Amino acid sequence: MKLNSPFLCLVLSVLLFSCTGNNSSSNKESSSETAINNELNKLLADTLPADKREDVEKQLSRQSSNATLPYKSVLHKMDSVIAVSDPDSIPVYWDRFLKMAPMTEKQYAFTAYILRRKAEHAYALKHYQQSFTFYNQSKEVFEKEHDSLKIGYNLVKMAQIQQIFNDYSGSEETLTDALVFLEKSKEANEYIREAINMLGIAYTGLKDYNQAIKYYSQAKKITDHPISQKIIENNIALCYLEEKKYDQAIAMFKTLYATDIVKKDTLTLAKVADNLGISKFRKDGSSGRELMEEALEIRTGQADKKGMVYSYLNLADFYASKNPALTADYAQKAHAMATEIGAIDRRLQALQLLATYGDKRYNQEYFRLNDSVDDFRQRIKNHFAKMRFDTEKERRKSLAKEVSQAKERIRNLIIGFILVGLIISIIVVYFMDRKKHKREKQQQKQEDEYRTEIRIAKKLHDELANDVFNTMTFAEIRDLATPGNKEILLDNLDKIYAQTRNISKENNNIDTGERYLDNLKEMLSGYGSDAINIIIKEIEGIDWLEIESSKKIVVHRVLQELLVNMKKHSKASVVLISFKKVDKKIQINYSDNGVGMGTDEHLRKNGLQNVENRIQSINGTITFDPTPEKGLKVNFAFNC
Amino acid sequence: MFKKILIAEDIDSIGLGLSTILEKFHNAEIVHAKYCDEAILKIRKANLDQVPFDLLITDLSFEADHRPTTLPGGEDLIKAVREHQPGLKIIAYSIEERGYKIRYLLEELDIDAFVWKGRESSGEVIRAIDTIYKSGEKYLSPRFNHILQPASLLEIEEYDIQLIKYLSQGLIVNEICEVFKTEGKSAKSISSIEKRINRLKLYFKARNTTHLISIAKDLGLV
Repeated sequence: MKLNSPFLCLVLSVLLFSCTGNNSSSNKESSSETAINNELNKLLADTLPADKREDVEKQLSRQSSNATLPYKSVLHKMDSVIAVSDPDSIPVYWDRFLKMAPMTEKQYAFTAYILRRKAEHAYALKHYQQSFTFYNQSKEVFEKEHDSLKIGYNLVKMAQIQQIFNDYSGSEETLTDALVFLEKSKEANEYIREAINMLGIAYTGLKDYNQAIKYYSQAKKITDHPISQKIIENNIALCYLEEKKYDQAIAMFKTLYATDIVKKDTLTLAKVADNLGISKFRKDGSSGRELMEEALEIRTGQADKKGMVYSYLNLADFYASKNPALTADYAQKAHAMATEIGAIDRRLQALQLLATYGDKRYNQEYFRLNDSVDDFRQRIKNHFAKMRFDTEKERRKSLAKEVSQAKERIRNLIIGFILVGLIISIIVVYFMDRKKHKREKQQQKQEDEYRTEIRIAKKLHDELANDVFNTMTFAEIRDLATPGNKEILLDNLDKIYAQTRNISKENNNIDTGERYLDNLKEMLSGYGSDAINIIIKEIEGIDWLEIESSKKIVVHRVLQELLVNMKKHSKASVVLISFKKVDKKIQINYSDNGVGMGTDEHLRKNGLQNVENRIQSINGTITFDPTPEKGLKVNFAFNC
Repeated sequence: MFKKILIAEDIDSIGLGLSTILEKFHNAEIVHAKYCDEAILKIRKANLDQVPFDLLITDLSFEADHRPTTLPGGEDLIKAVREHQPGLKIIAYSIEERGYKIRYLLEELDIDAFVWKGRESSGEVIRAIDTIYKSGEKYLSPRFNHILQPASLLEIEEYDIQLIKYLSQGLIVNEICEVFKTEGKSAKSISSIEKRINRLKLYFKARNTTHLISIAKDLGLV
């Protein structure tokens, strides 16, 4: 069985210089370039024989005129040096260049590129494991550059190496990964085609022929190269053959065999002829020999050793039941050639035939080789898997780290937002509350003022207007020339005057400064008389200076109103007003031994509503004695 | 007698009434000012002209109108006068009744007389002028005589309340004395406690101790 990769050679040349893209326009001889040039000259002096050095230097000076950019120029110089170097020392140069990478303006791109060149070099020398390692390293560096095209390319190459070691399941995984990267890039069509074709090969290797045919068909659809299409068709037909769908396989091979393009491409023609022959033989057990012999003839003519091995093996198969000696002969030939070109699987196949149809000795050799190959392949497979897995793990780790960092950032951001929101809403609520409070206070004040106005108006009407009217009537009907009448008139007017003075006094402004206590005491004593004793308890026990003005005014007014009320209605003879400070609270108790207000709620409302309002305006509390038959008792308190 | 008198008064009729009476009793030059700012300007001008006033009669309350003022009231005018012409005799002529205010004017601002605007007050102004001119003593309307002493209130302490409580619990004076002694209260002797009880009877208008307890009970003390 022969599986081919028709694209890779096309692709390689494109790639080699794709990373030398011109994205810098600096023409200056930068310091890093100087450093690199020094390093290069040293490299040349160290490694090249004198005669070759001259050539290279000439070439370099020619190139530097049109390649002055450090990164690009290093790449050019690199190729010039490599071109004339001894193949064995090339890896050493690569390593020197690798050390130069940090001096260039594109450290990662350069490092990854050199690693890939190392991989290619190892691949050419058939150091596949080494090559796989370098491709993998290169891929990791390209990942830092987020260059999905080159990551994808490296993965395809890695899959190819895996397939060389029959690690089909590994290559399937690698190719699936490669497609993820390649599909991100717009220039990756060729690599995608290659990857899909290789997936077909991988599934063939895994004996999942349905999948294989699916991928081959897909690859064929996106291929516009005619001979490539034919090779893919050959591969599809081989799948049918393996599935023992001989008619389908034979039909396809026949069509291919008759196609002009195939006829012109002799090696492909040999391949198709060989495959058609073996298909026919498998179907009826007798035909197909001519086709196989034709293929062997062509291959022998073209010295296609790999193809010849297949032909020998097929012919050995053909003669197995008819002429065992001939089978052994072909198997012998296949074994020799397979050993020569290092095709282990074919060698095993040949050994198996030899053991059956020739010398029994081969049996032993077969098992020995088979075991060691199995073992070797398993080891390689594990090695690849581990390397891929490690990288993957590394990538996952860093991805997980990124994700967790992003998560943390988002979380911090959210917390920040919540905090800011909270603070803003607290501030807003605070200000709104303050505004509301202010408005309420303003309203309260306005209401207070309004009530005061009403009270004064009522007083003017009730107390003053009547007296003024009476006096007017008196002046109208009496002869004021009479001294007695004049005296009465003046007395009446004096009474009225005193009443206006009282109204004024009750509504006068209150000094809230140092003389507040004097003023308060005077006001209190003003309501005392021979008939009424006003007793004060511990009024000095309170530091009036530290109490807010508005609260002092309320205390003054409330006591004044209580006393006015007392004088008018209570018939009390003793009034006790006691002051007390408990913690931060000022407590003031008023009590008299008058008639009290009775149980009439309405009466109380009228008389002391004002007092209540005033206390509430300073957030104070007021309680009236619940047993009001004996005098009036009012307690009020507020925070100082 | 005073030769040059300034009357600061915002109500025309009162100013006019005053000057009528002054002219009747004194032969003096009388100048009127309706604002405190105007008054202080006139005082300063007279000083500059070397014909200073020798008496200021001023109201305390001036009604505010459209004019912006630096001296809104009589109290401010008096303070300003004390700065520009400390020796000027001043009579405050006002309806102010608050004792502490009047005391403040007489004692702190050192005015010479306070005459309360009342029925007989124009005559009182003449009496005030006579008093301060002849004797140099201060004059105060008789109805305020009591206020020169700070308000005399009936004040009690927690101690008194305690005393009444013990009495209501049926303790006799001797026992109360003992209790107070153990509590370290000030009035320790029996006589001082008796004095206290008598004073409390007076304050609470009680005719005997029983009555005192009754009244205290009404007041919610016990």
